[in-house]
Amino acid sequence: MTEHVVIVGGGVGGSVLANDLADRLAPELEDGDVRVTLLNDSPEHVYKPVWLYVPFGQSEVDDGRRPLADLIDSRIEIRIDRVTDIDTDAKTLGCRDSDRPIEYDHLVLATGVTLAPEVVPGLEEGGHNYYSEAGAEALREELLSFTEGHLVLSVVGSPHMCPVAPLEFTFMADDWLRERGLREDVEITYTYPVGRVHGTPPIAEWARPVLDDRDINVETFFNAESVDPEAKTMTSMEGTELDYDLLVSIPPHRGIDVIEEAGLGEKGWVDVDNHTLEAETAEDVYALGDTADTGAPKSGSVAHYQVSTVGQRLTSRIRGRPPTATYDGKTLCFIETGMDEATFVAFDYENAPSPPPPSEKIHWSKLAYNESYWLTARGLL
Amino acid sequence: MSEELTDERAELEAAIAENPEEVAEFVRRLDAVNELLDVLALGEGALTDEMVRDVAGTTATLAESADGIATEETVGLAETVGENGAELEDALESLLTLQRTGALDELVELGGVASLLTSALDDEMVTSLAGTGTSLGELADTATEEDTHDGLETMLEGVAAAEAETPEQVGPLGLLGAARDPDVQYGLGYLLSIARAIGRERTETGAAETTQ
Repeated sequence: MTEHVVIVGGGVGGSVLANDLADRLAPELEDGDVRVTLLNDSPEHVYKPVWLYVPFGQSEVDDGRRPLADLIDSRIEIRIDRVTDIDTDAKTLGCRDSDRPIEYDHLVLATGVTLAPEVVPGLEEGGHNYYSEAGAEALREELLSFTEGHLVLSVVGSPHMCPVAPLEFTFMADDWLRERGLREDVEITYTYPVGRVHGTPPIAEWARPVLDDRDINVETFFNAESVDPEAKTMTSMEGTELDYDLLVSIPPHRGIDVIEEAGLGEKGWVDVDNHTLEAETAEDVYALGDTADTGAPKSGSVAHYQVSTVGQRLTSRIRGRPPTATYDGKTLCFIETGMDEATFVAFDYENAPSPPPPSEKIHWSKLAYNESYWLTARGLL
Repeated sequence: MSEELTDERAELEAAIAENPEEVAEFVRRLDAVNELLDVLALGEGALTDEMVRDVAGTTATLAESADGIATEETVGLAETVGENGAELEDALESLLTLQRTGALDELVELGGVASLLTSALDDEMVTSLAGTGTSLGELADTATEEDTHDGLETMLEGVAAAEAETPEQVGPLGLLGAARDPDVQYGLGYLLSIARAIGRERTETGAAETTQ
């Protein structure tokens, strides 16, 4: 009997896993004992970290797109469709463009995130973001013509993709405006929902003096309640009101609805064992990347590092061996501290991050990795 | 005055009588001690509470520092420095040169990149990269053999020239016509030679796999 592995989602986690399994399960795939299907709602793979550079005119959204067919091993079946329901008892998936459900033996959910700006009244109309292709392009148009006034970067939703990206954008905007001789005419304010400037205390401790040194205003305990696009004001649940001329927000994030409907977890995040990445409420279901509620950040590096755990555990089960691989929370994030310098944080479930001094070399490393990301997607790096 | 104290005084007087020179010397030294005590009394009068605390604190810090410095590790370090003085002097000179030329800052930044690389990698990535590197190395080994290199260059130049021209659609008649072109004849001969070699290679590989 042929065992069927279905991966839902062709982002970093899903694509890297598909190529990982093509190598790991090569004998079974060749003998027809295993099939692997990658199910995605678009024929293209999107590398989202590119969007950070779009508002500053340093990247185009097309730089982050490649056809899945060019990246995925030919032994993997690619199917373009959208999952509409998951039945973990019957082990089937319903799809938008198919009358017949897809049967699976092992399911991996790598469905990522969607933006939910509608959660905060007025945010969609009054705020910009760089967490989508359209958002990054619209923000570019605003930012290029922004020469004076109050720029507010507000982290509205948490958890969100790439947890250090709000700091990166703020540091880059500060440096970008300085380089163009506009900083004195632009006031910058950074808001964060908890009582420090980042959710991870060591990162907050590192970032706060940098923000202060650059004369960037900080508003902590600022949970956005509403935005008034006409008056250009933003009000927090704590009662603070901020005037803005250009609002850049990190909108609330959600997983896809079918995950909650299938009873796999709330808000579209799958409840998993933090180490095995196996779903808590269903058999033979795994989640990785942004979809998995592990407490690790929602970042591409996390998805990348989780792939080997899921790949090894799936392979062990298919070969009838007890799976032993576990994920230790390994995370690595670059942090751009300006237009020409960067640092990075590396941490896991046990060890806290400690950013080294920013340097041009680390900035170059980030640029180089972004360019060579396509080797990661192909499973080579 | 008690009887006990009277006895002690008598013993002291007897001792002085027996050692008059030593007693004279003691009294002379006692004068010097008294002068010293006067100086200390002057100092004591001049000091405030805060100054006393400061002096005491400094003294305590010095004592603690000395105690801290004299650990097993620092003693070992001092021994190592002593044994390798000449080498350390040379190393320090090199360090100073790096500092003067600005290369030290560059090295520190490169150290950050090295730290980044070690943080980013995991076992799977090292294995995968090593595998890719090995495959590329084997490919490079074959590609750099002189004949292979020349042949590949010929092929790549041919591909580049074809790309630079606008290719025409060619039917059977066009193919027959082109076959009369000496360049095409030479190229076809070359391609047939490659086809023959590939066939021979695959036959040999197949035979080798069958016998294994």
